[in-house]
Amino acid sequence: MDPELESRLRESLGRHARRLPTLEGSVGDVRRRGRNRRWAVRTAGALGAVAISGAIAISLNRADGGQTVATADGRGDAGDVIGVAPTPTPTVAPTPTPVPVFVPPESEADLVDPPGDVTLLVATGWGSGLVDVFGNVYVPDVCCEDLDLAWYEQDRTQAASGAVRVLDDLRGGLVSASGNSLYWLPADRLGEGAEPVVAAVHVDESDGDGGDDDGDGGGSYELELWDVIELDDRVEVLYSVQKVSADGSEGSALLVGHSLAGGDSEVLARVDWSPDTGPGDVWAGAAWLPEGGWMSLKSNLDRTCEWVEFAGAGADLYSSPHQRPEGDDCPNPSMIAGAVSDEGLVVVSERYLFPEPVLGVYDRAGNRLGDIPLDGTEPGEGHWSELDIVGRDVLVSRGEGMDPTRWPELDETYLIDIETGDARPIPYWGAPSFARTEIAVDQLTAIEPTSPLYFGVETDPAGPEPGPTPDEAATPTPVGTPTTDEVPPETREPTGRLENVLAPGALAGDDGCLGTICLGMPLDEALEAATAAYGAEDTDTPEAELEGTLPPPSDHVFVTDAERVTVTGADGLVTELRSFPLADQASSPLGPLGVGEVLAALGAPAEVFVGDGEGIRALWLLYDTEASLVGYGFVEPIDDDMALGDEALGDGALGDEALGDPPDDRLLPDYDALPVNAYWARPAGTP
Amino acid sequence: MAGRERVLRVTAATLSTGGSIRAARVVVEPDVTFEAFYRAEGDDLFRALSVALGDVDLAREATDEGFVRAYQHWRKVSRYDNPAGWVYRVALNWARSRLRKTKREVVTHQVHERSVGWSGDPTLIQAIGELPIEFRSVVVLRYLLQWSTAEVAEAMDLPTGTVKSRLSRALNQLRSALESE
Repeated sequence: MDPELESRLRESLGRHARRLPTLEGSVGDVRRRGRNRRWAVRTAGALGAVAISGAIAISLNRADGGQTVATADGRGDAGDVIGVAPTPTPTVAPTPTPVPVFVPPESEADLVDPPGDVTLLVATGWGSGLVDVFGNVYVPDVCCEDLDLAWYEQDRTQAASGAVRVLDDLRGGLVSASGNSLYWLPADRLGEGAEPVVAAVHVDESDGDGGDDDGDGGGSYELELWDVIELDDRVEVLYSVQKVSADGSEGSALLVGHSLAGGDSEVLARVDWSPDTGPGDVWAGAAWLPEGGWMSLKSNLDRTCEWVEFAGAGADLYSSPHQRPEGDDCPNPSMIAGAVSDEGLVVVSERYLFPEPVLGVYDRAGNRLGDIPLDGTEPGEGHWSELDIVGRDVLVSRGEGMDPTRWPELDETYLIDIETGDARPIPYWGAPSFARTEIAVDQLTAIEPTSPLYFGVETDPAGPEPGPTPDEAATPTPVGTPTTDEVPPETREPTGRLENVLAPGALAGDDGCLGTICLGMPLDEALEAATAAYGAEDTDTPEAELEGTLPPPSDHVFVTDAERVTVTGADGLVTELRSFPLADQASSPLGPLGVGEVLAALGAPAEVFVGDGEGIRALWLLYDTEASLVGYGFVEPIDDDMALGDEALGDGALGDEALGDPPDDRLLPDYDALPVNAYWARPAGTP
Repeated sequence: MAGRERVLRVTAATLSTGGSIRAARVVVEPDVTFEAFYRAEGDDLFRALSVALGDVDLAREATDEGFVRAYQHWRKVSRYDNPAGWVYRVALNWARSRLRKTKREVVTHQVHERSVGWSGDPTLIQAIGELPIEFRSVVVLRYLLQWSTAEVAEAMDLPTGTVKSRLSRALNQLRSALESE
């Protein structure tokens, strides 16, 4: 150590710290915490002097989903209940009410394929990943994220979308837009360090500077990818490019069809605007049509108050301006986002026009077919910020102003069935919290199950094995699924499934117990028993990690201590219990953590999550049908209430150095915490 | 931990919420109220987190989060040898998780300039800001809150050797930064 430097440190840090503000005196605010799970309430001058006045109020989650607000103020003992918040709207799979009225014409319906065997790609601009229709997220090790971020970094100020689109028909090729350029990375070039081809560059020749995109003193480009179609002899991309002058008063927008293979571009439509005409049009969606031609969707911001316009090159297509209701001042655009399906079905996120934000559904001629009303917010406020259409589903993400008590998953997206209005959340991972106000979902496309990108894990250089199809994933039959429905916990017998798989070790005895843990015991009691047996000094498990929502049905929590493995079913009760086989400790990739036990109980393929004990991330392991480790990486909790930080694996045990770069932003299911020495696991592809 | 002998003090001086940084952490009596604990530790932890995270606003939220969790489990947390260390660690983990989730790849010293308002030795301050957060978080406990190495280790749930190693590497990095000026 360096006494002089240490002294200097103390002095400098101390002097600085004294200049920092204190918590005391913070003006009151009420802030939601952790996806609205708890609030900390501040009142003016209260923090730092808790006992003086109503200082800190904390809401505790109740089992029924409601919240009990307790206070630690001077008016009573800490923990006094000062109020009870109503039970909120269920946080999972919110169902819009009333039931949507949209019923597509039969002929239209025939044109639209259901989602079926697709995997969705969501590219955020801050990372990307694959999300299947069940919300499972896969991050491939071959592409996407690094490229996306790298491209994004090329011009952070201009790449508003950071768009990257997987070309399913190209079996994994990528197209990305950044700044004024369109990039293409063919499938055969995918891999680390791959350099994309600059497929097109847009320059503004009107400013006379020879094409430099900053020749007009600061204007900017924004490219948006909309569709890709693979024809017999070429692949064509449909995208728009907008050029806006530095002061935003002038600009132009082009809709461009570009042939990737041939390099030919055609301007399909062009709009110019100036101070005289208003701020102009913004492309909000476009698609190639199956019968040829294209269709686009624009938000017209000019002074005529037309708020949405469809345009196309097909013979039966025409522009269809939609007027605002009479008397509306139309100070802002009404269409926040829109999308055009491959069949010309149009879905528009509308604002201001209706009391609540809705998704308007139109046919290609501009006829309003119906609404998907979304009971989400106060009149005139809020909107759905991004949306896209996949088959019969609309993918939307929350926008600014949405009532979080009704749509509590702030950063998540929803897949909404156009016909029924049923909404199911797609957990949204890795998105910056502020993205919900602007860009939450940039691109969405379908990937064929045979695509190299499907399922995301590639270990065989000769070619990846395709992952399970969503159909397969939709009906998993995990070996270890507890059968708790019919037998009361008190009388439940060991299923014996583990016995069939593992030779060593012993199941619970006739009394249903193995040591101090018994079948039917609640998880927290089992953990306490395990902790006590193992030694409280060494495996102290914070209570926080034992509380909260248990994993959803079909999930399992595996808890190991030095001697036993406890398998807990969806009801939170111990359903499997056996001794800890040393053989598996030795053979497990995680050594003493006994992944073998997990696989044995759950069956393969399976995903296993192991918390790092710091609440930062978890180790993700993917086992194939042969129970071989085929993928691994780090994942981040979707929930702030991840394990709080005990010593599950020790410092550095999960370091990047040991296991390579993580496939960032994988999804962890929504759960409160991984107990120390516990796994969370699920069959691969579990919905 | 249950059953351990504890040093029990919460003095009037440590309850002051002025601008001073105590020379040593407060040890909490087992039956001390959450309010007293909060009053005694809140500002110091907030300041420590502000430096460690380089972001006052984030530190404020993290401090709240740590205390909220401590409150929820106060019966147990109050029995820890160093509840403040637990809160610090939880808050730090929460903030790091938040940063990772939001991909806020901030350059620390820039954040300092903007939101913390560093004063004093600018070279040293900037060098501190450029330390990895793993180092900065222990430096803060050791040299701002003036906890012992063992106390830092306990608070951060790290082996003492790891803490010493991090401190040593941090000081080396700071020294190099100062020498290059």
